[in-house]
Amino acid sequence: MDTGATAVAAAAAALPASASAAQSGPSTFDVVFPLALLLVIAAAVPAGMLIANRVLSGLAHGPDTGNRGKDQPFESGLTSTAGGAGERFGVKFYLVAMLFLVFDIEVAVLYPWLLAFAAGGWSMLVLLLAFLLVLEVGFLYLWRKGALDWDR
Amino acid sequence: MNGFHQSFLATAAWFSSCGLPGWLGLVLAGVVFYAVPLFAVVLPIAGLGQIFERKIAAAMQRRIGPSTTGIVGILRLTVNLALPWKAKAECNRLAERLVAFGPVALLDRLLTRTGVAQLAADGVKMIGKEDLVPSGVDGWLFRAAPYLAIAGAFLPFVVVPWSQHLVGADLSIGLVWVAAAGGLTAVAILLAGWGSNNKWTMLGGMRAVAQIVSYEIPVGLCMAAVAMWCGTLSLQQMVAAQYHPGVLSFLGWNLIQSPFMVILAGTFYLAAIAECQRTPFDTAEAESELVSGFNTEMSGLRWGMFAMAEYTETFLIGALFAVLFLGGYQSPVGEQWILSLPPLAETVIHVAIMTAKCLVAIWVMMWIRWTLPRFRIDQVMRLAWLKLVPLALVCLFGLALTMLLGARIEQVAYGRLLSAPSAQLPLIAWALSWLLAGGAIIALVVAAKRSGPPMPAALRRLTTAPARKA
Repeated sequence: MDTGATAVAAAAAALPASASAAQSGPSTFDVVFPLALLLVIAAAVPAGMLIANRVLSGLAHGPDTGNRGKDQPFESGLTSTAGGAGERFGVKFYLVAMLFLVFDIEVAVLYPWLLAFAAGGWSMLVLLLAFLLVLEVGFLYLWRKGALDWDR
Repeated sequence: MNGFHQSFLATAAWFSSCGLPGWLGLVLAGVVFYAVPLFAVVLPIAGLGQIFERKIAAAMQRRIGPSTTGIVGILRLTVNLALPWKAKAECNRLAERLVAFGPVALLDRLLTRTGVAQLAADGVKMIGKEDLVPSGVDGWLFRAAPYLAIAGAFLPFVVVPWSQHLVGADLSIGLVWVAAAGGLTAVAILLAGWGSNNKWTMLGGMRAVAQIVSYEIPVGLCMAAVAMWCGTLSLQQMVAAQYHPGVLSFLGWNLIQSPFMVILAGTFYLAAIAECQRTPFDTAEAESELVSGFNTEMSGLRWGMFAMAEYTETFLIGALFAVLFLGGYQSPVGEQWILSLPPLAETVIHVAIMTAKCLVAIWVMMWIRWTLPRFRIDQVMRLAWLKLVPLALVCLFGLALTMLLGARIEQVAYGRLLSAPSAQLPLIAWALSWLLAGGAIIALVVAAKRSGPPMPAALRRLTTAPARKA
């Protein structure tokens, strides 16, 4: 480990300034660098695989002969499709999206609260109760209205 | 400061001492330390997950499963490529003789029987398939979808701790990162469904997204409750909070801290299965109704990426379940001893334990999949909104009350553990919480059983035996 430590110290000058700050606890660099790198790699790996796919399938199948049936939207083997993607679909999906927005924000609000909960104790619990009461009244209303029932 | 990151910096320093510019050294070391472990471990496991599933499905249906593809084909290809000056027939004969050779034959047999060779064959097949983009699709959305699917499945792994030293980035908001990065999957499915210009993908995508966003809420609530109990959002600290110094280390695990935790674990598990849309919750790709849902128009590797993302997600759920409820990478017994080992040995043991826990969670998931039939979409949605969300909220309150009454709160402050809380609750408080909450839960279950909705008359006529004529 000694050689590693000296290597780090020796190369501190060669590295960007933010990297050498990592000696004392995790810095912004420690956190952001792996994430940024992984974002890039998460894009590069599928790209690499798709390029390999292009090349290899080109080798295996030769040039595309422009089959008309292959080009059409899939319809259980029929070439002429009945009803495209532009058809009308249930408004329920929109309703679910709206409900999701409200309740996911509720969950998002919970995260900072739960970290403060330890310090606040009972008063924090009362705060949360007051916050959730407002939301859950709405939830009960939706429930009674049947908005959460997929069949209606 | 984790040792993993230190060795990363040392390697970066070594690269730049070889004359490379500093930033290039950092990137190379980053690839070695962050990308290779993640993609070299998670990618094959995503593949192995498929074989694992096929084998388990076979076992549950009294079949053998993939068991015939060996490595002869791969050997032939390798020999042909390695000795291009020789005739093809001669190369093939050489490969056959190689397979007959003792150790190679044993390996061949092993890979054949376990189905791992089948995985290689499937991979080669998939990568050789034609990359088809139908003419009517929205090119941008159609092409972007697989990227987002892969990103949504892989990025959450950055914060998953595999040992004390092995964690990609120990974010202080780890759980938020998991939820945020995992949310990309919903976007990917929406893009695939909308962009494919096909009514089946459209319906499948819509259903999938409705289901994912509905189950996001119980999952989020469960994670929030556990984070409150541990007083932190960082996954590494969450594992540390479950440390118990005695011989029986599993006494510190969250799962057995309170009856609310047991329910939360069940809720989380169910909701997570539904969120990655595995049977019995796979209404979105119900193949008997929607061909194959949002990925109907995807072929070859594009489809393969969605499949890979799905199996990676099952793995992620296993990892999250382990971290939230089963003490993460900690051993059920003698954790104290493992922690006293040198870092490398400690890492190896902990990674093995973590993987084992993940595999058990995945195995149960597959067990459920091959046991239960698919639910209807209305049942799926009702389960999310009317059962799991209230249940998770009740458990959150229960845990908060337990913390306040049990004086657990003194050990936790502002998201930082002051010390490793060993005996989380006084024994009496612990027993009392189990008694009270357990009784309340049983009462709720009994009440729920009584007040089930009556079966519709039409359905009853169909399902009950017709009266016989005298």
